[in-house]
Amino acid sequence: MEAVAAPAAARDPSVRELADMQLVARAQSSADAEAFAELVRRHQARVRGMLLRLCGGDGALADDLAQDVFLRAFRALPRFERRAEFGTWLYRIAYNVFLNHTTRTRRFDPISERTRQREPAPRASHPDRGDVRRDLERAIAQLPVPYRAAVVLYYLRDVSYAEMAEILGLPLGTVKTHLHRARARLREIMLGWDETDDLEEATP
Amino acid sequence: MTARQRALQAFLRGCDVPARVLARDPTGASWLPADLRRWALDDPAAQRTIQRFVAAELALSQAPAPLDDAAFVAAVVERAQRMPRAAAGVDLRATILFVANLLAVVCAAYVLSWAVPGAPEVAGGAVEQALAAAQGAAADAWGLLPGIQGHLAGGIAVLALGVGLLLARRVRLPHTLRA
Repeated sequence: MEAVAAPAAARDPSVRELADMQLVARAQSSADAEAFAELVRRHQARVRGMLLRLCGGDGALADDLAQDVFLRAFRALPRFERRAEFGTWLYRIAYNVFLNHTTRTRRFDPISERTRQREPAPRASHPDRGDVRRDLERAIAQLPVPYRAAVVLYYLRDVSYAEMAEILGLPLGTVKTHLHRARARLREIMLGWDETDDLEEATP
Repeated sequence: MTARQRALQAFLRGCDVPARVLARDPTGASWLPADLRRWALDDPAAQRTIQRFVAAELALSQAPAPLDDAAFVAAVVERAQRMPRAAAGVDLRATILFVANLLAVVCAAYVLSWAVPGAPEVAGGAVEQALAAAQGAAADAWGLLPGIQGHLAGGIAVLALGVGLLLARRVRLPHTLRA
């Protein structure tokens, strides 16, 4: 066992210019904290965003899981063989952490009570961006986990179909089917809310 | 719901328009079918549906978390510094998996030596002697009947195999991901 080297007092500006794999190599060979911190900085937004959507918009839970993801990655980094993109590897850890969490807590639909009780925002003539985002998170949370994961990964712009298949551990064709159904279901949920509103508006 | 509303929803349910096109043309002038577009221009409910669809697609395509969060990075790095890390090339679970499977094979061979008459004779002399010595030692030390020893060894073999299979499943965790 080895402990990570303490970060240098003065931040090394060169780490920002290195590619992911160069940072990984530095973090692997010398437990370079600067290199690892740079990897976290680069990927934290996407990992947290992915988990936020998987967790139905529960930010606190998503951040807890995201920390776990990076710590697991840190521990496993010496064994990362650099055959996959670092980001792909990280997303797969994130998906496994999410699945482990849902299994551990026996909640396959890990939506917080706050999210469950949240009603869709009332419709305005021009939808508010915050309302749309909340409704969207709620709609995503209603999808079955494999569909949810497919649609969340699809909208992370740097993830290809092949990488999605690797991350989810599914054949490519299954991923495409999941994605097609997930997007259709997501829109049905969103448009279904519109139907309810229209019915409410039509009711005297 | 009217037939046109159903047609609009059916189109939106299956449509695949890039977010950049939706951002540039949120009313659907370039991507909505002409008949639906003409009808939607005079139908406030249809316009709301289109607006909501576009807003949801744009929200989906935007990053849901802050782009850079120094506090989060600092917290992760601080926790990582206090965390011991496995040295390169050492995989504890893989090692346990190997040992468990080896134990299962040894126990299975031991059970076979009891169950199959003449099995030790089939094996080489060294193996035969080792098995006989192991059987004798086990009988002396435990004072058990051979049948009970066989069952015990079988149980250990099953247990070891179970542990091995369980670990094999867990070893498929991310660090083994191949490109």
